[in-house]
Amino acid sequence: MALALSGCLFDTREPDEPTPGGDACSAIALDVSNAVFEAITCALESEQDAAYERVISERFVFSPTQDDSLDQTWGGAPVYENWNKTVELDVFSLMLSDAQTLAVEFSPSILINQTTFVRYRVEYLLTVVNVATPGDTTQYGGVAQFDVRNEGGNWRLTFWDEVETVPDLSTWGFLKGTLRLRLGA
Amino acid sequence: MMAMAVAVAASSASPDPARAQESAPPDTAQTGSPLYDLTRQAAQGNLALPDTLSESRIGIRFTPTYINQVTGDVSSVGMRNVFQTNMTTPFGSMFNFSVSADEKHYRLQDKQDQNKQLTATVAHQLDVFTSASISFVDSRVFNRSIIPGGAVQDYVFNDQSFNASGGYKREYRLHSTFVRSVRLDALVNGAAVQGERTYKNDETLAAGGFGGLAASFRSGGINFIGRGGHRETWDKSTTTLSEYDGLGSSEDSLMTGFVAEIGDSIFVDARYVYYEGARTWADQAQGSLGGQQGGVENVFEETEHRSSRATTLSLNARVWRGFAVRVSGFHDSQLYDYEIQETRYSNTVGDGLRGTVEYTAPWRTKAIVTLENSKTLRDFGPLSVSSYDDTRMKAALALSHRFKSGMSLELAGSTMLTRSEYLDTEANPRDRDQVDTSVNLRLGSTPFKKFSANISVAYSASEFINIDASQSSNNRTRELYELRPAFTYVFDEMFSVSQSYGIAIEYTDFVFTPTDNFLDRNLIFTNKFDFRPTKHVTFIFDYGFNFHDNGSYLPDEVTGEEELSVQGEDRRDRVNLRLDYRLMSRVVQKRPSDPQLRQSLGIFAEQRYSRFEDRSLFSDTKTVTTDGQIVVGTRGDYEFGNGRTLKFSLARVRRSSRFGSDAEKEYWDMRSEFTYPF
Repeated sequence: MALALSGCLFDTREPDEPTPGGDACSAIALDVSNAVFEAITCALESEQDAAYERVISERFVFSPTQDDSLDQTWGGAPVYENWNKTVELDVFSLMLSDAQTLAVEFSPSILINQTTFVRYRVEYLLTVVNVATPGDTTQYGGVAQFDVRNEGGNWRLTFWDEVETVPDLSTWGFLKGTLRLRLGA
Repeated sequence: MMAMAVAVAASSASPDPARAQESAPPDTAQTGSPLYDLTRQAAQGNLALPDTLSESRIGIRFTPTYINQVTGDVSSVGMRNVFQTNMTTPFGSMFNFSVSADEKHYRLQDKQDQNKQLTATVAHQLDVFTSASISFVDSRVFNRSIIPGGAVQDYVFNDQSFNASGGYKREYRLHSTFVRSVRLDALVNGAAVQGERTYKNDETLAAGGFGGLAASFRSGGINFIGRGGHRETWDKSTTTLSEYDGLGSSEDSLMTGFVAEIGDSIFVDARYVYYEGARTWADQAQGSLGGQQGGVENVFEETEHRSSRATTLSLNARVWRGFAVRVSGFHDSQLYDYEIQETRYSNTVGDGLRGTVEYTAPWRTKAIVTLENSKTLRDFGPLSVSSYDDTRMKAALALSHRFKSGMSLELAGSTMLTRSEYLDTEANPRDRDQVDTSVNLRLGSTPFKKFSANISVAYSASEFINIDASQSSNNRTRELYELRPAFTYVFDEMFSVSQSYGIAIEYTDFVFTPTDNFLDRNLIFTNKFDFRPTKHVTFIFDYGFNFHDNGSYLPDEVTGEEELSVQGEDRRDRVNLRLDYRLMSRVVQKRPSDPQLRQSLGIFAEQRYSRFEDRSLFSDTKTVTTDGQIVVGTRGDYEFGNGRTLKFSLARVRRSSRFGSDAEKEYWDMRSEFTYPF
């Protein structure tokens, strides 16, 4: 019924044939828990969102540091409320759109390791050069906890919890907040 | 005249950290801008006037209470103590005082949190229409982390505030032909706030006036409501190097709405919300590599202009019994503009239309059809190439029927198109379409008194279409098929069995690269025995099995036809055994007029075992990992009377696993809450 509906109701646009070498991340299999880091790194650095979409669980939740949640930048807007997969992908897409280049380094260590659940402590450094200010490089750094679960055979990120800041750097969570504010939180 | 005490506690913003999964979501009403919060609530449909009247009892009542909460698990141990008291007088005054301390230590990291808060409020009813209050709040938030290398990293957020407010509220019942009643309310408040942060101190003076008018008309069942307000703050920020004076904010808001009833089955609801605000505050720059501009030396003044408008119109009609139509439309806009950090500019303008038709047939089949269409312009300013139009269209159908035999049938289907069209596709070629479709069928039945069953069948598909050649290699479809039958058989009051089965197949296919596809197949089985041989003992045996394989459709080397190539298989078995023994479970009631007090105490033991076997068919290797857990503990729930309660759960957990630290493998799991009103 719904298949017939979608065909009759909505026309999608015809895509162009892809340029060669554009599918850098499509083949990453999520068969081990640390594949999430490979998928996120590839999606960021090649600015392709497919691998990122596959690695984010349908029940994804994001939580910022206490410092970021109380930042005066938001002026009371609830930028971190109801942060689910849809919000995460919208913010990620805006980050890719605004960026000229992106690079990320992850240093994960295992805190909890069970057969279908792993919690990582992840030190990260995100480097961003934006299209609007091509001579200006900004780095975001911090420490987060990543909860990764095996869902139907694929390991996916279910919880991104920013837990620590590092000196002189804003967190990736702060960047996510600024992007969501622009999307109309 | 009975004196009426009004609690109008106008406390200032006190910080409430946003921790999504570990604690409740933050109270966003406490944002430092009650005017903006009222605007948001109105835009969400909450136009009700606050009703703050309550009756007091004769005589002075003094009700102190102490609360202690302890929580402990594998990641942290924490304790919270609260002392609070209320005092009401027959003279129209009420006094509230509370002090709380919250401390948390993290077991797997070198980190601790300490939060403290003190609040004191005095409210007084001057006459039946007028009230006044003053309050003081002192809040301390402190986090300390020991980062690798041994350095200490502190986060400090302290606020002290003094608030004063006055309110007026009156309702007029008129003898007019047209107007039934009019309600007026007005509130003025002022606050002084001293804030201490890790790298700066803030001082704020705030003043504001808010008011509302609600009218009820005799004809047409028309109700009108309007609210407005103005608020200003004057701020100063001081760092170790500099002082920023002349900071502050100014806000105006207006909300209007009316509801009309036409005939006795048509309701029309219209609302308009307006908000304008400007603020200047001390912000910190995001800078260049090698000169990352953090720290006190890079604080600067930023000014933000914020503007929002929202108009909604909805119609709700009951055409005849069992047939209802709802239509709603909206137009809204939200603008953020900055004087220094112009890259943060955004202007979001949206329009939408939604319609729902509900029909309940004489044979009790219920059908709901929903259509939605919305378009949003997201303009990120001249410095950005990311501006785009976002279009969403959705159609959904739901059918449900309950048969006389007790069987129920539910069928739901929906399809949605999401389209993004970038304004500058040359600079940002990310135009895309996404179609999400789903169909769910659920059949439930209780054919016999002791047997119930349900079957659900689900299909969902998502199609991701990137238009430009630089992105279209990501184009893919993802389909998920699920079949999940389950049943429960209750042999008698001592023994029951529940079983569920499942087949889930997920397939992702990249459109332009035929060999890039992923197939995941899952076969699932769960079985649970629930055995209660005596009223004190419960025994549960729970087994779960999940067989999964994954692979891809690849062309055969000889025939060229696509065949499934299974690359890996894994199997998960889990067993849970749990024994509960209720040492005591009773209801105590000393006299028939006394309330019933529930008291229970029990012990429990649980064992969990999980085995994961992973086989790679390419390398013909097999990996087996197991982990287990034994939990032994006690649980109690006591009511002592007069509101005094104790609830606790204390268990020792021991895990066995090849991985993990010692701290993770053995720990106390505890929850307790002790409440003692004096």
